[in-house]
Amino acid sequence: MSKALLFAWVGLLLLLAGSVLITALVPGPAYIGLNIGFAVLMAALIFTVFMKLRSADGLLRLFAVGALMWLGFFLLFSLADFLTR
Amino acid sequence: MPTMNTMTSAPAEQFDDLDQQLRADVMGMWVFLATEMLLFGSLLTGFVIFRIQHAAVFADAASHLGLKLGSINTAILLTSGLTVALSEQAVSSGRRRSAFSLLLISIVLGVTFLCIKFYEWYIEYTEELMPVLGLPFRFKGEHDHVAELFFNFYYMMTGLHAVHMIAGLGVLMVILMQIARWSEPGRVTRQARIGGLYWHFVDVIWVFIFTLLYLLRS
Repeated sequence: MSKALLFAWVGLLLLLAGSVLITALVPGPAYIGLNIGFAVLMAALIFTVFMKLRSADGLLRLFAVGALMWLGFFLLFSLADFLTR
Repeated sequence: MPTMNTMTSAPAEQFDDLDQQLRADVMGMWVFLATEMLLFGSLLTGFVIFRIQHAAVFADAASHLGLKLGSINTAILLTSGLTVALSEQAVSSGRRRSAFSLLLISIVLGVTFLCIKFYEWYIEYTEELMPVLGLPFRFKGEHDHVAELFFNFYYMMTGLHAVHMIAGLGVLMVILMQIARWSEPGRVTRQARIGGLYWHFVDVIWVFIFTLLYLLRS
């Protein structure tokens, strides 16, 4: 049994618990940024360990990063107006 | 590096060897997942724009969702991600019985997730918070038309995710049958890898749906 997979799973559950606790305990809008940050960390753990991007070859990583980059452009251009008002 | 299993069956004729075929399959799956990212990305972006415009009402509407059930469901889905990944490892190292058991556990966890999700929808239906198919919508708060927009997003996002879960469960069941037969270990290894990628991606989508819908509530 892979230790990396188990550590990733434990990390994911800790991040989940942290997110729920933040929602309950942290007042004001600061918790929104923390929750989004925790979600990004969880996604990064799944991408790198469960989806094996950590050990993937360069071309596959390029495809994965490309997909995230286009999504990033999409989010940035869609939200730029609303976030800068 | 080719494993003992991947060497027991021949590659398709357009490939030099099974490793090249596996790399091509994985690449194809990532291209498909990129299109899925944009599908869910557009939905999530639409939600975020309205969340910024109607912060107070969306937060109030979110507080009507079951945080406890949502959190349990998230833990279940993350655990199914672990068992799918472990099953992939077992398949590639030829541990057929472990692979079968782990994948079966993953399917049970996936079905449990969907049952809890359906139960949540039933609770929302009884509370008249389901503004779909002409059903009555009664929101105890101000700006009920904005709250209705929140719940439209909620059903669209969780519904689309559930459809992906059902498709993923179908894929896992096909792989389970292939493991039971074990007639082409090389093919099962590739299917487990590709099916696993899809399942993990569905996990990632849920993490963001859970965060945006359930956690941003004040």
